[in-house]
Amino acid sequence: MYIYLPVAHTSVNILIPIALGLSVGLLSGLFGVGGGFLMTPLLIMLGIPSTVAAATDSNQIVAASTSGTYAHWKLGNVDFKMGSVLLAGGFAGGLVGVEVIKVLKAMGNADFVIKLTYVLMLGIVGSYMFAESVSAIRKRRKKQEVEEAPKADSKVTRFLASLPFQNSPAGSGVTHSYLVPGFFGIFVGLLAAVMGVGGGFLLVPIMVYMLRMPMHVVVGTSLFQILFNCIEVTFLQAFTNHTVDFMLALLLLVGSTLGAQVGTIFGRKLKGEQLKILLAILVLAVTVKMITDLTLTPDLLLGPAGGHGG
Amino acid sequence: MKHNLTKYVVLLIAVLSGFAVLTPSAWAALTLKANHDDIQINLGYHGSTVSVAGISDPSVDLIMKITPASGNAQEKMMRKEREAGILWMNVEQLTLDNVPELYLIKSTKPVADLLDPATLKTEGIGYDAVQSSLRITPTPSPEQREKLLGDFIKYKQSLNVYSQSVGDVEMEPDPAGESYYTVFDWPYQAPPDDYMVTVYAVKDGKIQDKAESPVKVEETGTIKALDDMARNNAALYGTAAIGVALTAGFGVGLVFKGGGSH
Repeated sequence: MYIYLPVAHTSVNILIPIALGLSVGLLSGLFGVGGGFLMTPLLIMLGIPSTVAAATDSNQIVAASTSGTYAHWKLGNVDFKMGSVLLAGGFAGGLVGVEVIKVLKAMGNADFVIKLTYVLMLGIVGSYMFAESVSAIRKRRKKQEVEEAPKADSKVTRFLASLPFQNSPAGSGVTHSYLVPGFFGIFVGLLAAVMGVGGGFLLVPIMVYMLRMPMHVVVGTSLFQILFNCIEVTFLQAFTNHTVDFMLALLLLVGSTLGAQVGTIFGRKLKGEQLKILLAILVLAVTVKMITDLTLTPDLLLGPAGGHGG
Repeated sequence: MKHNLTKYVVLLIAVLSGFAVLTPSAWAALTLKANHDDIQINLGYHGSTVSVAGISDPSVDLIMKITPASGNAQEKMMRKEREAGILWMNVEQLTLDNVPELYLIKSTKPVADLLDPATLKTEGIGYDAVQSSLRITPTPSPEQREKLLGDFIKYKQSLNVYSQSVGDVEMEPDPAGESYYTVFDWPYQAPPDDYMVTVYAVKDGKIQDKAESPVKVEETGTIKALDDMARNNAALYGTAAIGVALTAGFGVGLVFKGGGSH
């Protein structure tokens, strides 16, 4: 059964976007990522123009992350204070990132820098998460101390503790100056704007390894932050570029809202290390796919303009 | 004698006039009818077919072409190149002008065997003609242009909006000449627009006759309402899209009662 998409100006089998939404929503509920880095290329493969694929994906992530945030909130896994500070930082970083992109485009090597940054970030984050998770699981098996002792006497810890605006959000169980998540929010916002992605796959490791938040709270808080980011992106894309296909978003969100709930339920049955290692495998798989795409000679030396990495 | 000469001249004029009158009626005029010429895009639309039929002279070959009636468009593409020795990257945005958004062509023989290159180019018949009329900015080198244009046609073919085939036309004797019939698969990727079916009757390397028939493709109902709203009322459209997504996400969350926690 086919349906025509009024903005994409193409026709798709109804079951395909629903199944795509279900799969990516599952990852969203499980790992706290928006899933745009997977969904946008899949939609393009389905014949959706790249600009419409990217914008519509943002629209469906609003639904999936609402569903996921709600599910995690009911489980007490959303740290609203931390999420709000990261969000504010992300907006600021995004503004800076847009300017950086302008400079790169003017220099004529934007695509090269963006893709290289993307592959490097994915590779580093994926490898680190994978190695750390494997190490943690081995330690647990040997019944050794799993959690690393806080380095109370390290210079970095002392410096962080000396910063003003210290706060202990109830959900995260960690104490940080607001400046710390604010700084990381700006960092992720900047990179996300430069790379044209939501930033979930960067934010999750930062919350886990830099802010030392529990994995389940990280997932819920990341979804909360992604929700607001994607609301902004959806509106701007619809208003400025007219590239949001409501019909396609509707099909995707039917699957993704259900997938996000199933992912949350499934995630509760997994330990933090198991979640991290699965996310690491996913990130590494995307890295390998990107490297392959970048190095193999393409069939055509011409492609449609527009779109982003999700 | 003078009277006889006048009689012969009058007779000769009458005979020649008779030939002049008889010749057009001996030639079967080209007719054309495109059936299903008003294609409506509704919710379940997944492409269509357009049959093209008519009468032609038995001695001619036929070329059938479908292109946008309103003229050609502009399209932006990215050119890829190997960077740093190993990575394939988009290195340059190209603007292509005079691009037909749909280009379907069928003929009884290869078009290059029927008409000379100049006529093919003038009439826009065949991929070579499409390529030669495309303008690329910034202007590439001649070798690069040839490669880019070849890739552009392949790209359009992969989207099903360009096709060129030979021999897929049924011809049958008809009291008025010869009837011809063919069916074009109308791709769902072709955007709503006014299109023109053009049939050329070709003989001895020259176009003897030409007939045209329009095909209209338009959106209707919900599809038209959503497309219009996305373009003309973008703020409301964006807000509604976000509102529906929030409601759906929250609604599903309520149904599942928070990830099955309660």
